[in-house]
Amino acid sequence: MGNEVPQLTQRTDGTKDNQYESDDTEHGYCHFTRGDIKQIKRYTEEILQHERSTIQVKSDGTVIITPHPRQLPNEILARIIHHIDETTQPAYILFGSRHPDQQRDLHACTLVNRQFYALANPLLWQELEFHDTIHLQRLLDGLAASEQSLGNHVRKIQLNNVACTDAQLLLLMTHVRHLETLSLENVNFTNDFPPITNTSLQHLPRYCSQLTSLKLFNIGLSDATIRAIGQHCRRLCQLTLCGYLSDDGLATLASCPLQRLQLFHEDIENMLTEKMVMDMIRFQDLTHLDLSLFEPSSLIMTISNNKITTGVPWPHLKYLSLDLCYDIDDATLICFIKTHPHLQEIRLKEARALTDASLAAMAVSLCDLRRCIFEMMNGISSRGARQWIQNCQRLKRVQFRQCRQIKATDILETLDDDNSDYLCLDEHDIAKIRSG
Amino acid sequence: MSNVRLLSSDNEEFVVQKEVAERSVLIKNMLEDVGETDSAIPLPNVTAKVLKKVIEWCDHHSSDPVTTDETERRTTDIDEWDQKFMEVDQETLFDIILAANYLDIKPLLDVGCKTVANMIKGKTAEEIRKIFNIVNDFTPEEEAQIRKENEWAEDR
Repeated sequence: MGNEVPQLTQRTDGTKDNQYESDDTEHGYCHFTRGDIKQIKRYTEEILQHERSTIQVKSDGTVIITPHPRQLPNEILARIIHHIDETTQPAYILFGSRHPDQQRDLHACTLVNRQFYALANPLLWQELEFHDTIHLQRLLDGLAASEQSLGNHVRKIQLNNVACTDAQLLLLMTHVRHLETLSLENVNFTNDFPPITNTSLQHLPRYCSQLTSLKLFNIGLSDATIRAIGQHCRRLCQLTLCGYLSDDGLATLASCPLQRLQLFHEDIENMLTEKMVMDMIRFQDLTHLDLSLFEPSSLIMTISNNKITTGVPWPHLKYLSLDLCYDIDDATLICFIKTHPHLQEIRLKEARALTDASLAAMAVSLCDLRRCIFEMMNGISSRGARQWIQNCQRLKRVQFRQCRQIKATDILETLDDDNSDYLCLDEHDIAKIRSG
Repeated sequence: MSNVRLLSSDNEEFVVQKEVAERSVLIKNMLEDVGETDSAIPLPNVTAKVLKKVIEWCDHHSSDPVTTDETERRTTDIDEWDQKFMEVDQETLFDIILAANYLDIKPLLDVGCKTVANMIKGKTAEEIRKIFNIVNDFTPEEEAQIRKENEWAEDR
């Protein structure tokens, strides 16, 4: 980077008075006269102090001081460019995605000069997100035209079938060998936008074996694809799958160090089999488990409870989200939470058989519990909920959704009963409940 | 509270509370290494003008908790006082950043870098060059090649 210190010129015209001038008016140094010598001297010294300026004395006696463009060290400029690639917009922070303005600014930086390009270009390429096929095709053309392996910078890709065809995905994956995070979604099923299928996906693990996070929405995995994932992606620690998964699917992932597993079934009420749960138990590093539209979800707890003697399944579990929980009773839940004391967040839906006894057990066993969402839990009372909040010391956020016995004013007098059906308690509400 | 003497590159001495001076990891480590000393700590890379500004910042932030979380420090907005503090000419801004880097004052370094980043945000390459008096050292062919490679990122 350069500075904006202006050129300072001393003009001489024989025996007559000398005049000193700056050609810059922004800095307030313009049109110096002899009487300003002290000021000129101080100004000149300031320029020279930086040791970046050159002094030229012309034959007519004109002195030209030119400040050199100032270049910040790479480590500093790299920090500045990283700040350009940051957003303060909560939605983008929450989902860890790049705001369009960040991409625009990084793109501008790549065109400034060579130093900027060297630092901004890898960052620009690190994260790719496309919502239309024109931009993706431009990227593929850019990759083809470049002599550099620009695709090696890519770590994260977010695509859907409106932006990407199977053929384009196949071509793209051959360039992005260091890809770590991939999110694919079929959002629109028409002739204009054919879905992303296993035709391309089955080749992904071979090209992108460094994947650590894979999220697929409305895409079912074929046996060949999931086998390839298990075989090649030995660093995969996060799998989100909304789509078909065969009964054997999870078994083939046994060699992946999964920590976060999120499965959503396409259709309502699909069977969770004992085999699937036994296969999940192999993921001993699991910290996050989220199952939607699988039943009976109680299998997660009953099988885990039965396995205690041979070692607790998922001993590091921090996050548990289950719906269709109507067959989970107090005894099952209490046994499960006693063996999973690291739980920080629990979401349960339709756990109609649970009562205040489960809440009381949570307060005793889960010292690190911070967030809970309870939906359609009709067996818990306002009194039990209030006591539970008072006793759970680290609780920060609680939601009661359509829990029939929960009445807002019974939990906190200042609340409005109109909100009882969808009661959200934040840190301030919780503090008031504790002090009351 | 004990004081520390700091000597700028142009031989100006500043007497600063130890707690304030220790916002600089470099100075903190020096003090730990040499123990109690009456000698001034020489800072050959920082002029008096810049050191005065840095001390002003450290004094204002002397009781801030030390944030070790890099992500938190980097994603937090610049507070109002810091914004005002950074309203200086560009040359001084760069000098503060370089001094913060040399003295290892990460929060000040972040504030400085964020200030420059904010000056860049929303600007075109040409505007960035103009603001910072940067010479475009690309050949026309290089620039055309980069435009072609990165055409996908032009708008989203």
